[in-house]
Order: sequence, then structure tokens, then C-alpha cells
Amino acid sequence: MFLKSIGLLLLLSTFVSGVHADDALSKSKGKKASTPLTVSYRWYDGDSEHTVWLNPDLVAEFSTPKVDKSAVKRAYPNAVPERGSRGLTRIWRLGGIGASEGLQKTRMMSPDGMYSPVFNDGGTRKRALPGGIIVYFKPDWTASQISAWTASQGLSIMNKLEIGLNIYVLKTAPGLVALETANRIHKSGDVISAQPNWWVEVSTR
Amino acid sequence: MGSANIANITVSCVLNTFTTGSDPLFANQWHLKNTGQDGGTVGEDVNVVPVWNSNIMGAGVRIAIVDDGLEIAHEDISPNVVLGQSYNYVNGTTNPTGSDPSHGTAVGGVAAARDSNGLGVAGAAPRAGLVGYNPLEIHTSANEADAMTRNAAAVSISNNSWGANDDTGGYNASDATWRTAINTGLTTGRNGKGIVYTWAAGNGGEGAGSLHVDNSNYDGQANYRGVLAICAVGDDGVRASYSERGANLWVCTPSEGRGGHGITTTDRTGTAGYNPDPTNSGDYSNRNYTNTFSGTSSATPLASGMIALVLEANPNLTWRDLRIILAQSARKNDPFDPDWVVNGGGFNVNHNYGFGVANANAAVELANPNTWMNIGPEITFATPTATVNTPIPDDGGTATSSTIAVAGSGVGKIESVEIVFNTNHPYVGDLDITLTAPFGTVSRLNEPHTCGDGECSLPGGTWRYSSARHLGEAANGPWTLTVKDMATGDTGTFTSWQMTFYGRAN
Repeated sequence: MFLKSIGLLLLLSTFVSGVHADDALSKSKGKKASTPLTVSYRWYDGDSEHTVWLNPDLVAEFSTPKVDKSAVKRAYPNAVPERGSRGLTRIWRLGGIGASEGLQKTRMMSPDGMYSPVFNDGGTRKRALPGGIIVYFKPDWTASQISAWTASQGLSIMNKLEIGLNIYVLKTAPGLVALETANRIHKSGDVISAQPNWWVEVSTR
Repeated sequence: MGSANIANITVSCVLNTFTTGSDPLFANQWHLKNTGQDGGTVGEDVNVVPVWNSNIMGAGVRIAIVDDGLEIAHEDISPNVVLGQSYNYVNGTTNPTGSDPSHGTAVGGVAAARDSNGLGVAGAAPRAGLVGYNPLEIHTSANEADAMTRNAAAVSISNNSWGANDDTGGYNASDATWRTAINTGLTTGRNGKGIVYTWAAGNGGEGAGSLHVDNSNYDGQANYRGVLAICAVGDDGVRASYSERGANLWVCTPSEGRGGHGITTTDRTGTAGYNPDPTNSGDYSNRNYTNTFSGTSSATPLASGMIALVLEANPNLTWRDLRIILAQSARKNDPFDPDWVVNGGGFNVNHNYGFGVANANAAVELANPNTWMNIGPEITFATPTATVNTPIPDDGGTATSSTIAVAGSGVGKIESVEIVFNTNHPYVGDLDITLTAPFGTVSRLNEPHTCGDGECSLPGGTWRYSSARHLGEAANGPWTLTVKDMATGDTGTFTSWQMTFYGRAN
């Protein structure tokens, strides 16, 4: 509250004077994230290409409503839940352990769990990959054509989204494989577009 | 004076006819009937009681609560639940209660808790049907999209009291799949009349504990043309400090404001939820209810409930008709706020309040099927992209402007405007961006602000702003986008911009 009030006063004084907000705004700008995000991935959102940055400190775990049942927590007792944890999704900061190493160890200990690296999306949200891709097939394809094509890719249909013609969710493993599969299919030219079935951080208001 | 007295007598007589007196906490629901409880301003409410007295209470209208869950067995919600029509994204059942439905249960009660049952509270549309979808339990792109269109033929209103994190100052775009779902709901939902999507405008205003001031236009869902961004005022009719400003705001409704008076609504049954232990909290002894709900989360279902009343009064309204009725019937609150202007369509509009506070009785009267004629077909006109490629002076005041001359659009009455702005500026929080219409109405799209973690660029260098402020104006003529960099240090170029108008011929 206090910090915000200071920031507001600085901004207000800027508008009142009508000139040079510079110092006020510059000094109150937030600091860059403490961990530099250097590894990026591309994905396709319809016609648009987007970038996400791998967060090396965080891992996502899905379908673990109780913390004491968490495979990540069993593997790393000092792991702490991070902002964005909600419902059946837990975002963990492992504390000194890199996400890559953490995911590897957790998968070895509990191979049936659903885990993903965590990404920052260029806005302020985290994203993760619980598995699955969303594919926009050409509208003139029949259901049997879609089934056959999906099988030819070694994939299976999870469900059809009733938000337009021939938009399907296909099953993949969680993690980076979902992103890579979506990109491969998107670039294949066989379909209109393909994207990962992202988990995206949101809040109630 | 004489007329006023007659009006008062009339109201007094009518008040005796509704039966929410049997809902023991109704007297505390100042957002429905503000009698000055706890020092609030009399009449600062959504004016539903006269509508109820005309026997319009939302019957036949279905509201989907898209949230963390909905406790469909709650004593004051269950009478309105449409059995078998909810959905749980975790287990695939029709019970959306989920692991912690505290938020959705409070939301659902504001919209449509049952009246006149001797229990708790009343919702704004106390006889509307309720269904719950809980995609927030596992918020994937597919679940999010599905929740926007599930049972689209039967859902009239989709209530969304959630969104990207607030208090970050950052720019969070919506995904194409979500927009596809919304567009589908608008065109095919409710048997072609369109689902009405209500969306919490955001709590990132300069409220307690917030670090970075958000504007609702930085949220790619709340600023999408297919949703109604709902803001919040307190029981004094003044903007709740957390409620985000924005050119995209449509209407506000009451929620907790500077008076500190929360909203009374349903809470999870028993010791769970927002009222786990009333001993020292000042909350109700009956833990199935709470008086602490707040935010644009609470303002949004209040709008949803009053919209249900309008749709019961006139089920033939399209989603576009409904938006115009809301704007036209809204009440100019906080009348001395200097941001109020009258736009070229004759609408009072304000960056803090949109078109004002929603007024259920006025909206229902306006929607009367004997007098309201549905508006004509939608026309869309997209301008070419204007290339600018001009550096933005980094001196805190010198403007860089670009004008697009719109001609032959065919849009005589604008319903919404989208503005795509492209820049390589690394810290867009430095920028003050305004759009000036041919009529002279100004939409402030971007305000100087700070961002969390210092991340304040536009995703991919592009952003789609929107403005509701030109409702009813004509599209043809010169539109000017003006950009100022109000902070030294970071610099960038105003690369290009483009506009798309949505509206009708006349």
C-alpha cells in the first residue's frame, strides 16, 4: 500500500506538472526478473507466432489436489508452491535445484505423474504443458479422414471442441513433447494450425 | 415537489409486494437495495426491486458460472440449479463443485441465489437457472474454450469473474482458440442470438496492496469486443480503488468500495469458504453466507443477474441489442467526476465507469418488446495498416501522431473499435496513448505505469486495444493515434497501427 501510494504520487505529480515524468516513472519501474530467461521456444497461435521463455527454476505438476500427495514434494521436500498454483495445478520452486534436474528425478520416482517445465509467456503469466495439442483441421475433412490422419501421426483424439468446424484436441504426453508435436504438425501444412493445449495461469478477481 | 411525493408513495406501495423479506440477509444486500445501510448512499444499487415487483426475476434464463466451481448443493443455490447441465473438467461429471468452489459459489449467489425461501440471500435474478463450469481447476486452452460454448443453445449469460493476474501492469493477450470460442458463442449461442459474456474488468487499480496499476485494456480477454467488461463502484457510487480504468469498460455495478462494505452472498456450506469462523471476523454466524465478497468478481455476476432480468423481459434481444440497452439505460454515477464526456452518439462515457452504473429497471423498460426494435446486422470495416516508423521522443511530452482517414466504411453507428498498435518500445508502461475520433471523443488506451519484474513490452511488439467509448458515432473521418513517452531511459519507435470498426449502418 505504501509503495503503491508513493508510485501514485510520483505519477500524479507528473501529470500535474505536465512535463518530464521521466525520473518519477523510471525510478519506480520494477526490477528485471532475478533469473535471466535465456532459453526460448516458439509456438503458433493460429496465424500468429509467439515466444515463451523457459523458467529454469520452476516445474509444474498436474492433478495433485493435496500437497502431501505431490510427487514433486516427495522428491524435493523443500519445494515451495509458487504463485499460479490453483486447483489441480501446482507450480513448484525447487529451491536450488534446476527444473530440468527436478523433472528428471521426479519422473524417475513417480513415472505416472504429469509434469511440465514452466514458461513465461511474454506477458506476466506462466504457462505449462499438461499434455495434448489443439488442431484446426481443414473444414472439408470428414471425421474419418481426421481419424486416419491422426492415427498416421501416432496420435489419438481426446475430444472435439465445439467452437468451430473440425477443431480437435489430440492426446500427447505432458511436457515439451506437446509443444514440439504441435509445432511439427503446424509446419507440416496438413492442417490449418496446431497449438499446444497450454495450461495458463489465471486468477479470480 | 408534488410529483416526487407521488413517486415516493408509489414506490412504498410496490415495495410491499416483493417477498425477499423472507430472505433473512436481504436487508444487508445493499447492492440490490441500498437504503443507506452502514452509511452507504441511498439508491446506489442496481435497481432490481421494481423489476422483481413486475414479476420478472430471471425465469427461463440460464447463467453459466465459469469459475473454480459451484457448490450446487448449497441450500440457497440448489433451487435454481439446472440439474445435469453443469460440468466438472476434472472428472467429467455434472457436479462442478470441485476441490474449492469458494469463489464460484459466492459469484453464483450474487447472480442468482434463490429468493423468498426463508434462507440467506437473494441473487439479482433470483429465479434464473444456474449451471457451473469449473475450468479454473485445470485451466487449459481446451477447457477454457469449451467452457465458453458448452450447452451454447441453452446458456444465455456466461459469467467470468477471472482473468490474467492483476497488479502486474503487464500485457496478457488472449489466445486465438479462446477468441474462436467467444465468436462461436456470439454467432451460434442462444439459437443465434448470441451468448452474453460478462467479464470482470480487473482488480489492478490502485487498491490496497497493489504494486502496479493495471488498465483493463491490458487484458486481452476483458478488452475483447465480444465481452462486457464490468467495473466496480462502492456503496457511495464512486469507483472502487481496485477497479481498473479502461476505454473498454462497459458498465459498473456495486461491489466493495471505499466505504469498506462487502457484498453479502452465498458461501460454501459449513466451515469452508470465506466465512470459516465468524467468531472474531464480523461475518455472519451462519457460515453458509458471507458479507466479505468483493472485487470486480462480485460486480460481474451482479451485472449477469440484471442482464438475466432484461433477457426474461425480452428473450429476442441479440447480444448486441443487450449491450446497447445496458449502455443507454446506465446511470451517470459520480456525476462530478471530470472524466465524463458526451460522445458523438449521445452517450455519457467515462474511463472509470464506462457508460455508468447498470440500472436494471431502466434496462428492462427500455427492452420492452413492444417498443424495442432489434438493431440491424453487424458491419465490420478494417482499415489498412498505417505504417508510421517514427521514433517516439523520449522527453516526456512531445507527441508522435498518425492519422487514418476512414472513408466508405458503411458503419454509421459504431458498437466497438479495435486498435492494433505496433511498437518496438521495450517498456510500453512509459507510453501515454490516445485515440481521437472524428467527433473529438478521446479514448485513452495506455497510461504511464510500471510493470512487475520490469517486463513491460508488448508480446511480439503488438497489442490490440479496444474502445467502447465511440458507441453510436460514425466511423468515417480522420482518426488520430497519439503516442507520448513519459519516461526517459527506454526508447522505441511507433511502427504502425490499424483499426477495425464493428457496428451497423444506422
